[in-house]
This record gives sequence, structure tokens and C-alpha cells, in this order.
Amino acid sequence: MSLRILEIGVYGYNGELSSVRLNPSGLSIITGASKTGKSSLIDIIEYCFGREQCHVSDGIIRQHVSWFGILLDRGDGRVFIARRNPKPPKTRNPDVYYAVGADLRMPEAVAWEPNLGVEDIETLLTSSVGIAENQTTVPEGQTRKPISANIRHALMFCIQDQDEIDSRKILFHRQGEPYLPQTIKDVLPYFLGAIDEDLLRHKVQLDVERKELRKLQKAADERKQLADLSTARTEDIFREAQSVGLLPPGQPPTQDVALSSLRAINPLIQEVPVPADSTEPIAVLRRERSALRRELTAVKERLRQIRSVEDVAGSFAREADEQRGRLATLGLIAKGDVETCALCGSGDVHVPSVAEMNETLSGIDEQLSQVRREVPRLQEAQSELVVRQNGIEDSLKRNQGQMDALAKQDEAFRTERDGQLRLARIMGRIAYFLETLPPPPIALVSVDEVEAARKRVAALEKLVDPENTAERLTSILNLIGEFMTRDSEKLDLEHSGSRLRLDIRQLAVIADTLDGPVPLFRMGSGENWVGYHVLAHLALHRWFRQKHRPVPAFLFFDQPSQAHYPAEQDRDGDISVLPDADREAVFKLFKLMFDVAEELSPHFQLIVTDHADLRDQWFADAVVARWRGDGLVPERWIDARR
Amino acid sequence: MNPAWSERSIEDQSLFNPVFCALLLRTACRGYQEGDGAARALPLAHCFLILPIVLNAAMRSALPTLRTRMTTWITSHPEHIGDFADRSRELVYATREAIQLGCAQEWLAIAGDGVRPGPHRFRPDPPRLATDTVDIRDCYEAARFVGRWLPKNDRQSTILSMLGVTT
Repeated sequence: MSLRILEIGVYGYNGELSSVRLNPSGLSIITGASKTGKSSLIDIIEYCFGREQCHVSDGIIRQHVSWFGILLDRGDGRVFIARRNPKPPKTRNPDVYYAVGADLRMPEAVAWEPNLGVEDIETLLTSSVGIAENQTTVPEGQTRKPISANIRHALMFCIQDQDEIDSRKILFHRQGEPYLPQTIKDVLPYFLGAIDEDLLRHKVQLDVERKELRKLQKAADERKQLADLSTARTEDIFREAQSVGLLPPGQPPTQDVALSSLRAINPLIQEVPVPADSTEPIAVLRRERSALRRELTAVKERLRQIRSVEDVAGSFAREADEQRGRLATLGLIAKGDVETCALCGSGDVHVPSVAEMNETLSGIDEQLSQVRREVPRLQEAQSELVVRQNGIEDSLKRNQGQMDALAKQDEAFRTERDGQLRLARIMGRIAYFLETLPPPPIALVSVDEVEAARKRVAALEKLVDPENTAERLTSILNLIGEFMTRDSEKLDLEHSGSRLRLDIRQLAVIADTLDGPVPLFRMGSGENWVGYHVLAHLALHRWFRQKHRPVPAFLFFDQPSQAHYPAEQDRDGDISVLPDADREAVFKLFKLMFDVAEELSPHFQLIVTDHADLRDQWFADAVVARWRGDGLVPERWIDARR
Repeated sequence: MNPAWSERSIEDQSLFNPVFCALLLRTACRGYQEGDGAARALPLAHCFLILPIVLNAAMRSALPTLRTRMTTWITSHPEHIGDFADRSRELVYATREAIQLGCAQEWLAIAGDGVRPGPHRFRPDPPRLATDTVDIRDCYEAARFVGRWLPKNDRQSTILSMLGVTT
């Protein structure tokens, strides 16, 4: 979405509005004398775009203005943002008013309450200009934190104030402030489109895939480890198990099979075989004990099932309670059914009838009562089972007592007990052996799967590779250089005709001449500096617009003609007083801006403030304000307060 | 158009029933008038925001206090706004139905381009029933809060646009 400025204004303490309306696309020129507020427009834009401090210089504007306001077109509607002028010497004020609407106009007077926090402006504009979630990449070995490009950064490519446009050292807005050159270098690749919009998502995905790969590899390693475990140890344990009859006799099978047999050993069912005729009473007791234990297991399982049924029924009852609670409001209906529409009076309404709704309520009531009946029955069954469980446990105890008693008498039983002890010891050894085995892999991992995961990771790594970005960036900068070179033929500059390019490391325009590269700061004279600034920014915006990049679709030049027509020479904007060469240069500069703005219309807006006021028709048509005498702050506001 | 009663699921019938929804709207309208001498009507467009906010458990439990401006809260909680437009579209008919029923019962009244509480009196208001669950009371509380919280001086389109509902 392209963000353009429709109107910039100030509200006086008398509540009145004084504003300048801009052409929604193409060139808009504000021409006028010094100190009429032309340059302050930039500070007002920045302040309304959420800059923390108000940089409008102390003077008439700061003294006579209560609110600054700006009306924007964001493609799908209009946005109005107003910020209260902080009373000098203060430089910040928390009051913001924000409004959105399709047909929004600049309010004629201050009739609003602040409704937004200052930092929220940034969030809102960042998303309305279409800046996707992004993060700059910091090359390895550098310590700064990655940042995400936002509207504040985008604005650095949309504005050239009067000290910047003719600077030999500074190409971008606010480049002179500490740390900002690095920031510009970091965010420019994103705005140019060299960084993949999906980079963040790919990075997250890469993390996930890497984790998956590690998991697969670990599983594969474990499997290998398991295979490497000494088969001898497994065999030893297997033989021990055989020796007490836990496993059938014979040659130990392969390790996998041996392990699963060991795991399958069930201590309850395994009883040491005892000759049937030796001690009949003990055998009977032992059979009884096995039966009791099996029964106990069954009872416990049944109890568990019933309890889970109870849980489910409980949550259903809660849910049904909520539904009944909301429907119970039906009882409040006093006036019968709705037969006409309250909004339009039409009889064609489809509000459900009370009878219908009541039917649902009674349905739920019925379900609820069934649930309630069900629960006690479950409880009854439960208590029955608990009684049974206790009975079985008592029987088991009695059985054990009888066996103990018999054991005291029976010598043969002692052997059996020895056997039990040995069995228990071997069971313990088996359990320990199985426990100390590495856990079996959750799923079998094939070599193919690991390989496929590795390939996915490699592909993603390539996607987030900074070198990829660098390549794309170089190609984009080449194309932008092409635009600059082409447009430069329309101006008379020192290195016109040479290949021009934008160097993002030096943040400078460079002309490749036969004698080697010449950066902007080594070129002489203000007219070159202004010329190359204009060329560079027009080329950048040509790219931004062609590629629908999320940079606001306006470009603001403050006094591009200053090298030829400085403020002190201003004669009501008339440039005929200038020498021919200077007049020609000013004409060419404006004509270039006009042509590019026309070419990129209707999606681009070029705003220029200047002293110069050319007589040509196309120039006059582009003038949206002539500030001679009255400026942004009307004389009568000032007079009224004297 | 809302489906006929018999074609709705039992959950839709009970959880979004027009009587309960109408009471929520009435509560929100009363909230909107609180602390306001002019006792103004809740703008019709805002009426359609009440149910999607109040009946969504996640959003309801994330609501701040009156000290936080609605506009500010919206910008800092994109996770609740993401699917808000879809949810509010789904509840448009429920809201409309609730307004119709509410007006017929004189719980609500259409006034100008907004909705006010109707002449019917409840004591207490919103009514309390023995069957009320914690959820139900939370919904009434949230409805009153949202009513008080909705900005009164802003353009309606500003709030709608920030919530992702088209202007």
C-alpha cells in the first residue's frame, strides 16, 4: 500500500486550521520566502509520523500552534494523525489523536480528545505502509543487535531537508546522527527487497528442522548403540532366566528376540513348577493364590474404567450446566414472541420463537437429569467393586498365612521358598539389565529419513544465507545505478554520462569514470551534490514503486535550487535575475523532477519546497502554495495574540 | 440470514441464544452510559463488536482495566485481533437477532443511530438466576466493561479499522 500525504496543517490556539493541500500524485511545489514555515513541514511530517521529539524550531510556529496535523492516503482509506505542540522549551508531548475513515477530511477545528499513545503511531503506520515482519542480518563477528525495519526507517528514504540535499558527505535523511549510518545500511536491503520477506519464517522453520534432524540422528545413534551392546551380556541374562524356568530352554536366539522375550516375562503368571504329588496342600494353596491375584487384577481394571467414565460424565454435566445456564435466561421473557423487526418494522423476521427455545432448554434439562441418575449408579458399582477388592485382598492374606503355616511344617516347602528367592533375585537382575539398556528408539529411523531431513536443513540454510541477500542486493543496486545514469543525462553535472551507482557500504553515489571511481564527496561544487542527491532518491523511489516496496510513496525535497538560487538572492521567486547557466540548471532540475513524478503517477508523490518560482505552465500548475507574506501560520493569528 | 432454530447445533442454540445475547447487549449499553451525563446511545456499529469480544473466552480474559485505552490495547495485542474480523462476521446475525428480541422485550431501544437500554426494569440488572455459572457472570462483567471502554469521541471507523473490521 502506498502512503501519500494529502494535507499538512497546523491548528492555532484559536482552534482554527491553516493547512496546505498537496497533489495526491505527481509534483507539488510550495514556493515562498524564507521563514514562512516551508522547512518546518518536514519536521511536522516527522513529528506526526511518531518521532519522539518535536524538531520544529522555536519561533512563530511553535508559539502560535496548538496541534500539528497530517492527512494521509494509505490506499484503502484515509488516516488523520494529530499531535499536540509541546510548549517550548519542552520538546515532547504525549497527546495524539488518530482517526481512520474512507472519506476523512482534515478537521476544521480541534474537536477531539487524545486517543492514542505516541509509540502506537509507529506500530500503526508500519503496518499500514505494508512493512512485513522482518529482521536485519548482522554479519558474524559484529556485535550489534538485529533490528526490524519500521516506518521510522522508511522515512529516511523519503525526506531530504535543506542541509542534507546539498551535502557532500550525507546522502540520506538523518545520516548525520550517531549510529544511524549503520542503521541505514542494515535496513536498506530490506526496503530494496533484497531480503526475503519470508526470512523470519524461514529462520523459525530452520530451527524446527534442525531440532528434528538432531532427534532423528539421536534415534539412529541409539539404535546403533543398542546393536553394539555385547551380545554376550544379553545371552548371560537369557540363560539365567532359563535356569529358573522363566524362559523355555534352548539355544539363546538373536539379540532383538532375546530382549523382547526378556521384556515379556510376567512375574505373576510365572510359578516355579513343583511336582504335583510332593506337597499337595501347598500346590492347592498356590493355585488358589494365582486365581485370587488374577481376580484382583480384573477388579482393579474394572474400577479404573468406571472412574474414567465418571470423569467424562462429569465434564459433560459441567458443559450442559453452562448451556442450561445461558438458556435459563429464557425465563425472563415477558412479552411473547418477536413478530416485527425492531430495526425496520418488517414482519419478515426470523427470531426463534420462545417455544422453540424452551424446547432446547427442556432437552438439556432432561440430559442433565439423566447424567445425574447415571452417576450414583456408577458410584454404587464402584463401592461394590471396592468391597470385592477388599475381600480378595483379605483372602490373599489368609492364603499367605496358611502357606506360611504349612511352610513351617513342610521341609519341602523350604526348597520352594529358596526357589522363590532365587527367582526374585534373577527377576531383579533382569529388570536392572533392561532398565540400564538405552531406551528403544520411539520410531524406527531409516537412513533415508535422516538424509531427507539433512537436505531440508541445507535448503533452508541456503535460503537464510546472507550471501544470497548480498547477491540480490548487488543486482538491485546495479539496476538503480542504471536509472541514475539514464536520468543524469538530463542534468549538466560534472560526471554526467559516466556510469553512476549507489554504494551502500559508503552510503554514497559513485561515478565510474575512465580515471577510476569518484565518490560524491570527492566531487566539487554544491550543484553536483544537489544533482546527485536528486538523481539517487528519484532512482530509489522509481525502484520502490516498481517493486511495490513498503516505503511511503512520497519524496520531499527542501530547497533543491539553493546551489543556484540561494535564499539571500530571492526576489519573489523570480529566477530571471540569475546568470543564464544557473537559470538553465534550475530549470533542468525542476523539469527532471516534474518528468519523473509524472512518469511514476498516480502512485508517487513528489513534494518540493523552494524559493524559486518558475514562470512555466507545468511549474505553475504544480504549485500548491505561494507563501509570500502569509506563511503556514497566518499573519492574523500572530496579530491577534500581540 | 440466521439458520432456523431447529437447524442450529445444540451448542449454538444454547450458548449464543438471542435472549442471553440481548441481555449482554443491554449490559453493554448501560456500561456505555455510565459516568456520562448525556447518557448517549451505543452506536449501532459498535453494537456488533460486543458479542465477538465478550463471548470469546481468550479475548475476555485478556481485557485490561479502564486505565488502558482501547486503541492502545488493540495495537499491542495483535494476537487477539488477528481473527477478530472473521469472528465478528460470524456473530453479525446473532447480534441482529439479539437486538430484535431485545427491542420486542423492551430490554433495548433503538434511538437515533444507536441502541439504548429499553424501559423494562430488572432487579438486579443484569438479572441473576440460580442457574448462572461463573462463565455467565464473567460475560456480563465483560459486557459492562466493554461498554464503558469503547471510545466515545472517536470516529467509529477508527476503532473498526484498527480491529480489522473494514470501514
